[in-house]
Amino acid sequence: MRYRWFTIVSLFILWGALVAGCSPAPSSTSANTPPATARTPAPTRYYDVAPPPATATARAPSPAPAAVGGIKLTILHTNDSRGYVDPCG
Amino acid sequence: MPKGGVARRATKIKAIRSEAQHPVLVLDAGDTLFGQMLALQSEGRVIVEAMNAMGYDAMAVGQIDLAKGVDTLQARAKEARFAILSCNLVDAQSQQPIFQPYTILERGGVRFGVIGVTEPEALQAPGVREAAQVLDPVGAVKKYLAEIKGQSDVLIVLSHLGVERDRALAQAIPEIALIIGGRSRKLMPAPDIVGNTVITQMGYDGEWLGRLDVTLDAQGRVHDPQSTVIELGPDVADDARLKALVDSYKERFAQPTTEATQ
Repeated sequence: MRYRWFTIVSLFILWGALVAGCSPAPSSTSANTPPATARTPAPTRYYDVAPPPATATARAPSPAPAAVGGIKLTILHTNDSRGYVDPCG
Repeated sequence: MPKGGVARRATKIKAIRSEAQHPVLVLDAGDTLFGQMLALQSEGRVIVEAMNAMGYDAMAVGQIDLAKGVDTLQARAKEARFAILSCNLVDAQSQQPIFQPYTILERGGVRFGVIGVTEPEALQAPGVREAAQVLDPVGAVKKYLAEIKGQSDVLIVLSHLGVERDRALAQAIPEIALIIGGRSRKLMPAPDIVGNTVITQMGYDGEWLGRLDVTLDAQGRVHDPQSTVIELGPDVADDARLKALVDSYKERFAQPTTEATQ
C-alpha cells in the first residue's frame, strides 16, 4: 500500500516535469526583443476627404486631346492673282 | 459680272481685321506680281505697293513672279513690307536661297513660322534656269524645320506647288499645320485635310479672297477649320486709298515716256 502511494506521487511528479519540458526554451535574445503582441499601434489617420479607391483614377477615361490653347486664328489668303488690279471675269 | 480688284479686296481685308478679336494673317501663295499690263509696265511695283497698303504679311515665290527675272523680284522684295519667301529656289552656284526662306510672325502672343516653297516649273521663267535651281520641296522644308520649330508655335507653308504636291508635302512632314497653296487655281470651299494638316487655296486672278478660321491648341495643331469663299463682286465697295493708288499707276503708264517720244 505504501509503494502504491509512492508510485502515484512519482508519476505525478514525472508528468509535471514532462509538461514543463514541452514549453520552448527561451532564446538568448528573447529578453531584448519585445513580444509580438507588444508592437506600438499605428497612429490613427485622419482624412479631410476620404481617399478615393486606388483604382478610381486608373479606370477613369483619359480626356481626348482638346483645344487646350483655344486660340482663334483667321488667315486671309490669295493666290494666282497674276497682276490683276481691276475686276475681271 | 466682273469680280475681284485690289480696291475691293482691301475693303474686305480692312473690315475683317477691324472686327476680329484674335490674330489675323494675310498671306499670298504666289504667281502674284506679273501677268497684267499695268503690273508688267510697273515691273510689279503696283502690286507690291498695293499689298503693302493691304497689310500682307508674306507671300511665296511662284513661276510668274520671276517673269521679269530674279533681279527684278529681288528689287521688289526690298520694297515690300511683307516677306517674299522661297526655301527651295536657290542660287545655282552657292546653293543658298535667293529669297528669304521663312519668316516668324508674332500675333497675339503666338509665333507663326511661315515658310515658302516654289514649284520646279519656275525654272521656265526667262533667265531663271541660268541663275537658279529649284530644290526638292520636302527636303528643303525639312532642312529648316528644326530651326523654325525652335522659334515658332505653328508651322505654315506658303506653297506654289499645286494641290497634289501639297498633299505629298503634308504626308511627308506632319508637323505642318497649314498649307496655303496656289498654282492649281482651285476654288476650295472646304479645305483638304491630310493627317493633321489643313490645305487650301482660293481660285485665281484675285476674284476671291479666301478666309480660313481655325482654333489652335497648345501644341500648335489646328482644330475645326472653317473655310469661306469671299467673292469680290460689285456689292463690295472700293477702298478709296487702293483705288487712288491704282489710278495713279494708270495715269503714269498711260502717258508716253520720255524715251518713247525721242
